[in-house]
Amino acid sequence: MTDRPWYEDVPLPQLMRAARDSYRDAVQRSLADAGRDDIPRNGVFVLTGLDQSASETKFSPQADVVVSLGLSKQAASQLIDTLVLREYLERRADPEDRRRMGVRLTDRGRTAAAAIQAAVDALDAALAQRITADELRGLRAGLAALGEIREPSAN
Amino acid sequence: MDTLALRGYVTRDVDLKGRRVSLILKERGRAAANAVFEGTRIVDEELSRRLSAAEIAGLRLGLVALGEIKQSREKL
Repeated sequence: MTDRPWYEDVPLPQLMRAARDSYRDAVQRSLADAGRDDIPRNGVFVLTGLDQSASETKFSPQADVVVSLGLSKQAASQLIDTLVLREYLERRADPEDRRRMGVRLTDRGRTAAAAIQAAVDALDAALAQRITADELRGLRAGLAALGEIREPSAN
Repeated sequence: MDTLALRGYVTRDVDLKGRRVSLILKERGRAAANAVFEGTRIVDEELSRRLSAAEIAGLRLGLVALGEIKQSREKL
């Protein structure tokens, strides 16, 4: 008999799926509790990105908001359209360049972003109680490396 | 399972006495499974080149912990 942990033989994609679902479920619950349960997939990344990077009055370039999601132009545009339609985002043409569109959070969007952040913070805190700081650094380093490995084929 | 069967990846073997359904990989399913294993192996190797053994252990432990947190919340 060896002391090899059970998860050593589980493929990483399988572990990643369960881990991803933990954040997804917590965020969905938090949004439902806040009465904001009609946000499309990927919409949470748009809302939290804006909440952290822009002041209340500032519009951010639409293209910058979605670039990290790796979506096609059409899919990115549809995502923003939906968030505008459901009153999470406000959109306007850039006054200095009418071809560019800018977006910012509405009050409804700010409430949703706060609910998302609260769920993520709570899960991060629960995680920090279960693993050491070194293990947490390993988790972050591993996820960052996996993202970097993906990039050459995604671009 | 219906979709996998419909698209020729698996067949279902129904045991009426035991009321159990077994799934059997067809040739198309075996080829797909091998492609998945190969893709995973390539990424795992690249990961091993980029990370220390301690970091990989942390990655696995962190993912397991997140999965356990999810399970514990589902029980509430």
